[in-house]
Amino acid sequence: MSRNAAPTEPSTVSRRRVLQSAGAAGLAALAGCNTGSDGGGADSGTGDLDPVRERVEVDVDEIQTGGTVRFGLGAGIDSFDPSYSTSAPAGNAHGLVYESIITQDAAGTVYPWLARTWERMEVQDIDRSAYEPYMKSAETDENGTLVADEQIIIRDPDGGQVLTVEEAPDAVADGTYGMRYRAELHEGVTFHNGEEMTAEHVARSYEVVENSSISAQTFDSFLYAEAVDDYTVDIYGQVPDAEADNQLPTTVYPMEHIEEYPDTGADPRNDRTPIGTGPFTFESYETGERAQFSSFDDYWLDDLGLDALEWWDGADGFPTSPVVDEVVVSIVTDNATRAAALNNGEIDLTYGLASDTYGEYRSAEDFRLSVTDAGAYNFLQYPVTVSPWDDERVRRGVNQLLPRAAIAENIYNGYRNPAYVPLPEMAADEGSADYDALVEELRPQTEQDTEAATSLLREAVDDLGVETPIEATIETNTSSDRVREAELVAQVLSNTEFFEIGVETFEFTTLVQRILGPEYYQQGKIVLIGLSGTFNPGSFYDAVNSIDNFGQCCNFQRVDTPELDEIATEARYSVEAVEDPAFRGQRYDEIWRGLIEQAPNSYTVFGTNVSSLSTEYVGHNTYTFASEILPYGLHAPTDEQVAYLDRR
Amino acid sequence: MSSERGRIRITGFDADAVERREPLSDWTENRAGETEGRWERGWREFRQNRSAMLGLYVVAAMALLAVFARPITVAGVTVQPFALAPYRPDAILYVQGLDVSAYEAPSLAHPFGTDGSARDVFSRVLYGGRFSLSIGFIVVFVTAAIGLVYGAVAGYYGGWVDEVMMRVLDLIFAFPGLLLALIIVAVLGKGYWELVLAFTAIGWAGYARLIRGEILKVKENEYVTAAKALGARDRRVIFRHVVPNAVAPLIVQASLSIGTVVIGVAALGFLGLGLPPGSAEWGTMLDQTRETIVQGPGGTIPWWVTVFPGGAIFLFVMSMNLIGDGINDALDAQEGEDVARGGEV
Repeated sequence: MSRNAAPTEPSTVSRRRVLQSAGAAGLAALAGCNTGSDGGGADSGTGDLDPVRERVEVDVDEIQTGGTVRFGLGAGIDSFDPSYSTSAPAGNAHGLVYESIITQDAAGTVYPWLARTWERMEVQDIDRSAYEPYMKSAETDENGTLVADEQIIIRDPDGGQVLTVEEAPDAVADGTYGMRYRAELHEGVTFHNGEEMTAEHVARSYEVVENSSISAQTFDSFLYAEAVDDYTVDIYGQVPDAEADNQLPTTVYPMEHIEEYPDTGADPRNDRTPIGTGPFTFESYETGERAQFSSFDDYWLDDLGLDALEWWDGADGFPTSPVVDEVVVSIVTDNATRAAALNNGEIDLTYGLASDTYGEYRSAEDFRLSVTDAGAYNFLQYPVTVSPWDDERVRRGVNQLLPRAAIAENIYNGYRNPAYVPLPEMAADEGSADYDALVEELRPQTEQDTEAATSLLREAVDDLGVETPIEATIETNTSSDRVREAELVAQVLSNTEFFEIGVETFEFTTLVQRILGPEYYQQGKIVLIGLSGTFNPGSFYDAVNSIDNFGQCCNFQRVDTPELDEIATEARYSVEAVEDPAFRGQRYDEIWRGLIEQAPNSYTVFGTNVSSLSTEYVGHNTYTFASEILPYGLHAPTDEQVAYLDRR
Repeated sequence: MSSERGRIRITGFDADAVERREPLSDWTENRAGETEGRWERGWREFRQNRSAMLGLYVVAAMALLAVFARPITVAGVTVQPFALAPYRPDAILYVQGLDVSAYEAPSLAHPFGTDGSARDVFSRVLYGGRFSLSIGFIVVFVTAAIGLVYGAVAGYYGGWVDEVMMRVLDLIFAFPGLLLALIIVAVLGKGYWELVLAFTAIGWAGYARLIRGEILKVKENEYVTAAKALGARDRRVIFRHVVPNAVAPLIVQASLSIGTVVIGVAALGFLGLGLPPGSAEWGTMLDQTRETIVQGPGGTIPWWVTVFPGGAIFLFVMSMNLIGDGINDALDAQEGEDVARGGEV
């Protein structure tokens, strides 16, 4: 396929070639642990550049099979079901068990996976108002938001109507849809419970996502899916969507899950075992301690062979699945304890250790560091509905007080780069017409400038008549680097006459539960946390700014920027956006400018993912997103990535 | 005769004979001033106890250092202008424009080195005494006062009053102290007064039980019976006659408990539930540097960030124990073993 294809022509993603668009690794999620880079800036974020630094390659003849790889995870697993998880670290467990009809390499290129082919068949120039005839009236909650029992796909606040999953099939039957994709599935894919995967499984898997933790991020694009025959499924998008390639597919669940599991998803603590098609089956989980997985004997790719992947042109003899027999995910939230476990040989790899240990792992003989530019940033989200934070001059003033360079240099030891714009470089190709020019333009508004900030704050404080110092608390998670970052920000702000800022810390999952609470936005707290986005530039806007993500990842403070939402919609949901990457870039540039102007969030530093590992674990490279470091490292034919244990 | 009713008259007493006879003891009116009170004797004995005095000097020095570490301002007025600590305890030094990085080893400029946020550890340890010492003393004062009243009432009245009050105590003793403190802080949030409340909520029970036991003994004395016979109210009997004679073990217990509270505060701080992160409280400082204990392969441990705050806790608790032992010896309060040492939780 190409972006220049006519909207009505079928498009396909096949063969190993580079798409100009970057794809989603998954959905935006909160990042609780450190990521870092080796200090250098990323090259441009084009999809053809490998974000993995110093990629390690293995000789297929030297690969050893068997053994148990032990992975140290720095956060608890909030859910074993990807549809009910908002935690990026938990994705490392999901990726072992569950798969989707597509996969993406480290640069974001989309490849069919459980699907033999994944093609765009049609694009129609419609907008969401086209669904009005199919909508039904709905009630509003106390916040004035339209609500319904069924998953809402489209809201029409003016008409008090919604389109839910119940009405979507009628619209599709009448030819009302924005896009149609077709997936032809591999035959012979079996779930861990013995079910054979069919088109019906793919079509009905969306039922699991309905009203789940990630529903907003799925149903902003997805309309309907239906099985054409046993191995062909059509997936419809609501409107033309430039990110549909990777946004429409979802995790594929077995019927046992779709029909019998409760609305809270798979949960081994309640005998709802995670069942997928992935190379590992779930074995056991000791709550908050460890999860164990063993290789799935009937893994589909072992049976079909890599040649079943039409795009495969890698080395002969490359393994068809991970070569290790077992995976143990040990949950060790304390960085020092995890480092000790790695030093003592209790685990083979981990990521997100304190950045002052990186140099030592890099230079040690028995250990190594694997660094990848990440699709992530740390951000402060202000209580935008609470005075005086509801005044954008206050937020912009704070934005200009933030010591981004000092955070990157002093706290992350140069392993991170200052975030002068709201978009990481790895998503820059689609997300900006000219990233360097954008940085140059916005940097004067985001670089520390105490004088400019003071003048803004003085004006705001005088106008509002608020008493200074304004007292507030930054809440963050107990990662040492994150706490130091919060303390530094608090001190820089408190050094001015305007603020008296404290810091409060919580364990990551506790913090997430807290800030996702429906009343949290009224408490007047500032949140400092990390966002792990996707390959799509929109993910760095939507997750933290779109009102649809309020109460989900990652709009905790009821941020509402309707005019930017409109531009974001155009940058993603239009035929021009689907066809013309330059158009997208220009529209996104407007969004980034608007975000700096309104400053509901301040972006402090961009991340890179850093794995620290034993040299006994050979061939590991770190993925672009913290959510898939373990599964990607074990086996990813898209990048000819495989890792094995050599315990000689 | 009605005017004579109720008057006590002694007959047959020969006052002159008493004055003329040989004295029964060597007491004379001139020697009355030489009598040494219990507290004076106690202080004299305490002063002769070298280890106790050493503890007292150390605690006094730490208290002075804490008070004079940084200026104290009350309602905008500086009441204590001195600053022995060269930097503010929360000052990230590179933000102040100094060329200082994280984990700098001890040097002349920074005698205790710098921590992970490039703050001066010497200033923080000095200032941190304000938290630990003041919480220790406030908690002990409040808990001892509550326990004293509670135990005195239970012990003095006895009967069902004692029964009910002691069962309440049993309930409190059934909770593990540190765990309850932890729950209270988790519910109320972190903060100075939250910590005080957390340790007060359970700390008074020990004093109550101790004072009740003493009062059961003291109240059988003749002077108590005499006071009652003379018509003194219960409140006066308890607080003028009973409590002063039962309070010595309480003082010993209190002096030893200060160490316990300081250790408890530090423990909560180390668990991340003490004061907000970044506070210079010693336990919180240790928590903040926990990750430095394990370095990457071949890495060197910045020992100064743990040794100095840890050493301050050790020194203070040790000194308080010496003082407590000294008081115990001086007041001859304890033969038994039912007084906990500081640091026992």
